[in-house]
Order: sequence, then C-alpha cells, then structure tokens
Amino acid sequence: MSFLEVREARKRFGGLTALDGASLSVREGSITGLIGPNGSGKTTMLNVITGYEKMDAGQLEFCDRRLAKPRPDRICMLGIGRTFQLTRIFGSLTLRQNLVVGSRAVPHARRRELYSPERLNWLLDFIGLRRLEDERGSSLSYGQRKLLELAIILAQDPKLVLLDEPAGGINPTLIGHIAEHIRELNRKGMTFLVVEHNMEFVMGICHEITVMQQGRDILTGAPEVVRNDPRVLDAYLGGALEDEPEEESASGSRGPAPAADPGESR
Amino acid sequence: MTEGVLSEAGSSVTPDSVQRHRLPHRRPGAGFGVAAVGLAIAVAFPFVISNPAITSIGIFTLLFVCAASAWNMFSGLSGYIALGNTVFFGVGAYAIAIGAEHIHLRADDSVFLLVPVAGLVAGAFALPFGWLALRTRRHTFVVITIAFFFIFQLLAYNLGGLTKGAAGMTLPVPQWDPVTYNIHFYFAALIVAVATVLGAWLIHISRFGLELRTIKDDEDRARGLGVLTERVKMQAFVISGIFTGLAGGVYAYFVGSIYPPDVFVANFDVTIAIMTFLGGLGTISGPVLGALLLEPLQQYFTLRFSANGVYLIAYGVLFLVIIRFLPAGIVPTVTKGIRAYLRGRTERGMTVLPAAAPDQPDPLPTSRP
Repeated sequence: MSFLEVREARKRFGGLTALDGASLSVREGSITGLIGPNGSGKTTMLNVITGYEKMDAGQLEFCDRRLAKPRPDRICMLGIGRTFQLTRIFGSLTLRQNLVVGSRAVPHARRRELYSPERLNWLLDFIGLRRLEDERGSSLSYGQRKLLELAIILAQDPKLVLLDEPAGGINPTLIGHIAEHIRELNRKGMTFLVVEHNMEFVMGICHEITVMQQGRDILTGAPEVVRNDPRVLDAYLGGALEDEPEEESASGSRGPAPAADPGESR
Repeated sequence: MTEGVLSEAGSSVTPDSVQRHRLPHRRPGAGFGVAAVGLAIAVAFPFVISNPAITSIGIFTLLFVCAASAWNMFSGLSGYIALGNTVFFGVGAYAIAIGAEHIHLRADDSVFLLVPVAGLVAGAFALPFGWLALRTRRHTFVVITIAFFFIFQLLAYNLGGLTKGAAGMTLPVPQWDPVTYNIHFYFAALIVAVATVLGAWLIHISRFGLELRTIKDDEDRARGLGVLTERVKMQAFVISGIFTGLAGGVYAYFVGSIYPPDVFVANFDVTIAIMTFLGGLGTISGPVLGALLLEPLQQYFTLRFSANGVYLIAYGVLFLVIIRFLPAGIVPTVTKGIRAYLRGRTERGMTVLPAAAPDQPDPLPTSRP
C-alpha cells in the first residue's frame, strides 16, 4: 500500500504524447526524485496529480484513496501542495498576505493554529524574508519568489509536497539552503516529490529516484543505482540536452519549455 | 532560524503578536480621517447649498459613487472587467417602478423602503447572469457582459406587460415642498453611497477581498491553493449587482420616469469604469474620488452645452490622459508618492537598515548547479 501511486498515466496534447503509460510511486516519509530529459513528461506528471491537467487514462491513488477526478482545489485540501517551475505567487499582495491565501484549504479546526501570527512569523523567518513581510510579492527577486511559494505551501502543512524545479535559476548557496530546508521538513515527517534537473541536488537529497523518458518511467531506484545505470545516461544524451541545468540557471528563469505543459500558460 | 517544528510554532502567544490582525493587511492610515471629513461635508452640503440644480448634481454624483464602488467590488478586485452593470442598474430601476405601481404606494418617503428590494432583485438577476458569464474569462467575459446589457434592453422594450415597453414607466411624484424636495433624494442617495463604500471597505479587509485579489493575480494558482474561486467570483458579482441595483432604485424614483434606453445604457458602464480607472482600480477611495470628479463635470457639460454629448468628447480625452499619465489611477499614484517620500525621510533621519542580502542565508554548500 502506497502513499501516492500513479498507474499507467496517459496524456496527449493533440499529436504529442506527454505521458505514455507512466507510473510513479511515492513512499510515505520519503524524498522521491523525478528526473528525465526535457519533454519527458515530468511537469505533466505533476499536473495530472494535482488536477491541473486531466489524465486521458490511468489511475491516481493517494493515502489508499482512489482519486477519480482530481481538481486543484480538492487535491490541495487532501494535503498535497505543489510549487511551479515558473513560480506563481501573488504579486499584488504583501508577503504576509501571500502566506494566508491557502488558509481555506486547511480544516477549520486547524486554521487558527496553522495561520496564527506566530506561525506566519516563523515561516517568514524560515525563508529569511521576515523583514520584507509588508512588501508586495511583485517586488521579490526570482529566488525569493521560489522561497515564498514554498512557504505558502508549507503554511498549509501538507502531507505531500510536489516541487517543480526548486533549484532552477537559483544561486548555489541558496540551493544548499533549500536542500537543507527540505531535509529538515522531511525529518519532521513531510513527504516530497521533487522534479529537478540539477543532478547533484537530486542525488543529494532523494531516497529514491524515478527516471522518465518520452512519457514513460524507465527506472526507479536508489540514487546510487540510478547514477550508474546506463539507461539514464542514454536517456539524457539521447535527448541531446546535456548542459541543461547550467542553461537554466544562467537565464535566470525557465529554460526551454518542455513541449508538454500548455497548462502552465495561464 | 530554522529551529522549530511546523505545527509547534503556533503554540506560544507573545504579547507583540496579540495585537496583530488575524488577516494581515495594510494599515488604513489617514483614510478614516478623510472619510469622516468627507461624510461631514456630504451631510452639510444640501443645507448649505439649496439650489435644486446643484443638489440634483449632488444626487447623481452620490449615485455614481455607489455604482462605481459597486463595480469596483467585483471588477476592480477580481480583474474581470464587467461592462454589463447597467443591467443591475436598470433592473433596480424597473423593480422599484413596477413595485410602486403594484403596491400603490403613496408618493412619499415610504417608496424608499422599496430601494433595498430593488437591490435584492438586481442581485437575484445577477445569479443567472454571473452563472453564465463567469464561465468565461478576460475578453470573452467582457463581450458576454455587453451582450447581457443588450439582451436586457431588448427585454425591457419587449416585455410590454411588465415594463410598458418603449412607453416607459412613471413613478409616483411626491408632493414635497420644492425647497426641501431634493433633500429627501439626496439623503437616500447618500445612505446608499455610504452603505456601498462601507461594504467595499468590509470586503477589502476580509479574507473574501484577499481571495478576490488572488483571482486577479493568478486565478488558477489560487484555486490550487484551495481558494474556491468560482464561488468567490459569484458572490462578488452578486454583491456588486445588489449595490448597483440600489443606485438604480433611487435613480428611478428621483427622475420619475424611466425608459429602456435610459437605464439599460452602455454609457453607464463606460462611465463607472472610467471613474474607477481615474481614481484607482481596486482601491476603496478610487471609485469614490473618480465619481466625485467626473459626475459633476458631466452634469456641468450637460447644463452648459445641453445634452448633446459634448461630455463624451471630454471623457474620450480624459481616458487618453489617464492611460498615458496615470495608468494606475490617482489614489495609487499619490499613495505611492507619499509612501516613497515618508520612506526617504525615515531613511535620512535614522540609520539605514543593514541591507542583508536576501538571497544568501546560511551558506550550506551541499550541492552546486
């Protein structure tokens, strides 16, 4: 019995097959990595889990419950939070206001505790942006936005957090800082599914890694296993994009968009 | 700084935090003072100036304060530009006309008791209107709201049994002393306007208002965080309709006779939108200020050059000026200026805060790109 389970997910966008029977399993309490070359369907996978895209076929289970028609708001209320590759915060709201946006999703009994001023202060300290709490979200830098987006999710105290490229476009020190945050939260019992191109980051924090290629999961295993598997190297080199992470951090934003995420153009 | 467990953090209550609002928002500042002075002036106005031509302008202005604020509640906060609010205005106007005719009310202040009913009827019409229109976004939404305006104008023309069609409807004319005649309507309009601004303020400080603004920023993201965007939009649309209906009700009783093209009129939406844009979209005082500036101007043009639409030329010019020089509107531009000035003064007066680099917390190089 698994925590999060995706079976044989299929998704087509017109003539393009984004997910071609991909399966994924996330163990409770783990940090699971999801890697693969651009266009392999990673973001689409997150989109179908969180209900931003409808699966054409396949099954989704969370906490032993079958989710027939996932919708973003319901998924969120079940305790699955996610961040986006291109961060999505609320530019016209202050940082503190940004943090309380998700308060509807938590059970009423816990709302007071989770959204108490002390906890919001703590979250702002956690991401190191307390002194900017009354600034508008639009005034933040890219890296700060990523941290704020993470804090918005953390405020809801989700069971499972899906991170879409948490290290993309972020300076190396901050990446280390984020990795530390993830590990610490994981120690407290939070489960993570991380989509990331930065191999060292993924290998460093993940307990288990699933590799995707052309809409299929080709391998699942511990970081050491994945690192040494020839198929993984093949998938990346075959995709002809070996220097992808550098390219993304240099541009400071999302790199070449995977063909399969029209759902993100809002 | 990374001490503590997620769910532990809320357990202790420090004295400093008790005073904080549960929902954080920007402090109201001098807004209350300005509102109190403005209200005092508004109350004194008809007693100081008794010329009916001027008090009439006052009444129309207050009704537009109401209509523009009501429009801003939904469109200004959610970013959905609705151009069919004249539907609510017209429904409110017809509701009071039809109501007064059927109940045979005596023509005195008791007719004003129908104004809240007119608001509720307009709100009821907002339900199916919103249900259909809010399935769409952006440009499509704008076009659909305009289409609704045409549909309602046509209905008013053609449902002769109810609306008397093109012949229009007349309301009972009160036999008040000409000297104080306008004061009744003036205070009815003032109450409606104050209620609307109060409503706008309550929305602004509530979580509901916060959620409306998340829709403007990123609707899908808000939904993904558990904001019930469909419901929030619908509620705001209906509330906006109710307040606009109130203005329509007072308007109908004041002018005494209504015709389909007078109350279901495209200019209504253009006007309240320009008022709100001029004052500041999404602010409380913006639509109020916009109405206070533009409606007297329009009335003046009408008096001066008769009702030949010269004011439309002025509106066109003004609209260009707003877009070119004040794209954010008066209120946000001025507030920003004041804030920047105060900040500059504080920084010159005190020691500048150490500029801690936000992107570089504890260096923990576990990995590199």
